[in-house]
Amino acid sequence: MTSQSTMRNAFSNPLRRQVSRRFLSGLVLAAGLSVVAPATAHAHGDYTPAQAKHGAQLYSEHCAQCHGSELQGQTGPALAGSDFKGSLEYSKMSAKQLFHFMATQMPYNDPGSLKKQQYLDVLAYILSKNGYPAGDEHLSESSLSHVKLLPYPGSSQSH
Amino acid sequence: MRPTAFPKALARLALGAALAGGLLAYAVPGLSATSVEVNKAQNTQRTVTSNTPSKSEVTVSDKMLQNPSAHEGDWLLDGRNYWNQRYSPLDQIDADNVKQLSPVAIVQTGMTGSFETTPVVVHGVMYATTPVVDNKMKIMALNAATGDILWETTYKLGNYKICCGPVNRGVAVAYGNVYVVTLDDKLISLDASNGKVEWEKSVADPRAGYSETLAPQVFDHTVIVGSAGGEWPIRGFVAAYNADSGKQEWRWHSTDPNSFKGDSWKHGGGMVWTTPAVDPKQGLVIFSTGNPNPDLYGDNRKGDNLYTDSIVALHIKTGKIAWHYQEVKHDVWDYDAVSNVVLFNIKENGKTIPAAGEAGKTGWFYIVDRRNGKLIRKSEPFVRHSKNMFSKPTKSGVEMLPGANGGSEWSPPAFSPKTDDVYILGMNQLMNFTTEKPATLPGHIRLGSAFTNVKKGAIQNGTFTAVNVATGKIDWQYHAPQPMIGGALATAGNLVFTGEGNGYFDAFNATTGKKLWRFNLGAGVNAPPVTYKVGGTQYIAVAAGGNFQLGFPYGDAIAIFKVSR
Repeated sequence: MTSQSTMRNAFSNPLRRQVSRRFLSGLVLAAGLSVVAPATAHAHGDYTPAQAKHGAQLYSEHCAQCHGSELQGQTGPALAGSDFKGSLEYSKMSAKQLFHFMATQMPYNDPGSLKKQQYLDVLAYILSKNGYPAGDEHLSESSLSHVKLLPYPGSSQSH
Repeated sequence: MRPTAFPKALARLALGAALAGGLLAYAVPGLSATSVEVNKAQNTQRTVTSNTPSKSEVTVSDKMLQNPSAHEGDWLLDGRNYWNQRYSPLDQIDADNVKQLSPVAIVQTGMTGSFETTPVVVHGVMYATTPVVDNKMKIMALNAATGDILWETTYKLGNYKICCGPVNRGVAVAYGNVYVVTLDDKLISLDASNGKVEWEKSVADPRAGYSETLAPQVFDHTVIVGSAGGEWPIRGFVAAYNADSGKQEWRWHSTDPNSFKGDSWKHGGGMVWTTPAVDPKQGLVIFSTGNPNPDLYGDNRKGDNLYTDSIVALHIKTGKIAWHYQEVKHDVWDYDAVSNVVLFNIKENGKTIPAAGEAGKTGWFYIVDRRNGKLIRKSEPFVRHSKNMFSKPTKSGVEMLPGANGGSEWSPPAFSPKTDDVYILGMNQLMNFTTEKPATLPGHIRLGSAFTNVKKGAIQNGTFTAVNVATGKIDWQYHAPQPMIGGALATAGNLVFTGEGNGYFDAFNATTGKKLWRFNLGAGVNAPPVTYKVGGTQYIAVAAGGNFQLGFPYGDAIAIFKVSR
């Protein structure tokens, strides 16, 4: 049984680049080398701040009613925080799969009604709210496969 | 029993007990007769008034449950009796005086959301559940004649996944306890006199997509539950638990490996969304089963996909299957069996035949022999069928009626033995069905594409239909401006009640379908009504909180009515 189109559930998203960067810098430090701080900040994110900002606006129009104004989840699942992290870790969903899901089955009451670029912007906003780093490259359909959702940003591995 | 004077259980007592239990307790300022107790280990908060009932007043025995005619003033089970008929022998409110039906109380629960509860009423105490709001839900006991809150227990949920709104359909009350299941898959037993949590058990894994929305059934000291979650790659079940300890007694899985290609049965769906009927004489528990998963893509699950989309009977002592009737073989439309199975007897060639019926999403009411599951008849369709119904969904989409919500959704119908009619809520929603091979990710919804309301040339309306079980013919039909979802009530006063998404709560003449009364509750009336008697007066009650699935306006109220004189 179901409803109109799609439903609450849980999806995912983190970026691995950030992690590999963290990992690398860890190695570097561990090795006692004083190094070229990995060329950071902007270069390694998978979306731009402007894109996330635009995504925030779309989110409030099309998504917040079910997923909550803070992405905390209401009738739809949480899209940020520990519940979201848990869902990502359980499903091991890729960013590409998440995008495909959003673009074909969301919003709940009118699936597929946004433009592809708008879905990407919303995804960028979700990434930003979960601590995935921004950069200078736009999130695009072709760059999705580079986006690593796990490990979730800030989750542990600070060995 | 007198609604106004529940003896016993003074707030001070409750407070003392709470303190003794090492719990935080404090009096609510300005409400000296009320105490609040927080239990962090149980994720609960309990508010108790000084008017809580005594345990003996609200203890329901198996004997009472099996003999509802001796308790005509109560509404002891989700479907009122084990046959799920939602028919009350009360006739004080009838076609002549129903026009004077007026609200006694509008109980604002404070939990605004998709509201689907069926109140259970025991000796003037009403038990109801609320939807989940901000990860919390309430289990409440009210004075059924005044709407005064006697106790309420707020349960904080863990993570959960749901398709169709954060709903709960109600409680079971028996053996001095209230049983409820939650969206995060806990079966909780509470003390019926004061709401104190006695134990809780996990019945399934919410991370995988299982969620509990139904009111549990109780029979012979067992609590029987199913599970929602048909849009996830999981396997449906019905399970029975010991009513005292919560220990699982049996579990039946709803997918048959022989009826699915490969190992697709492992994630093949067949959820049991609504409270089963019980045939105590034959010792059977009888229920409807949901769609195979993925909903819209069947190539990887070739076969009939038993026991999805079926009416199924299990031996209630063992959980072993007795018989089944499959409404749709190898479903790829979400045309499943969701609404509660209703039991009744029919006369065929002068013989009385025990029967079971289910209002399918396909828009037919299926009547089977409840000794063997053989189809006796399918009713006339109670909603529109497009000519291309059952066309296979395509990549670009096929527009069809009924839509994926049905037909009839979860809405429990009512059956009146006086008219031999079953009263069914239906909907006409023209939908576009597409199909696509889905990815299978644990805990991620798996529809196999989408079904969406058609916008250009949209069809969106509802039906409320009296289907005669002796003939399968439609005796009368009411057309509503919106799809109908919620539930029906039939009474010996020759009335039927139901609600609409626009806020109207309606009463009809059960024989003719003439609309006799309505009252606008300001939020979608999308929950099943009940009736009961307290102190010699008949009342009608219904929750009005709208519906997520159909976008009907939200509210948070339980309304109580009686005839004003």
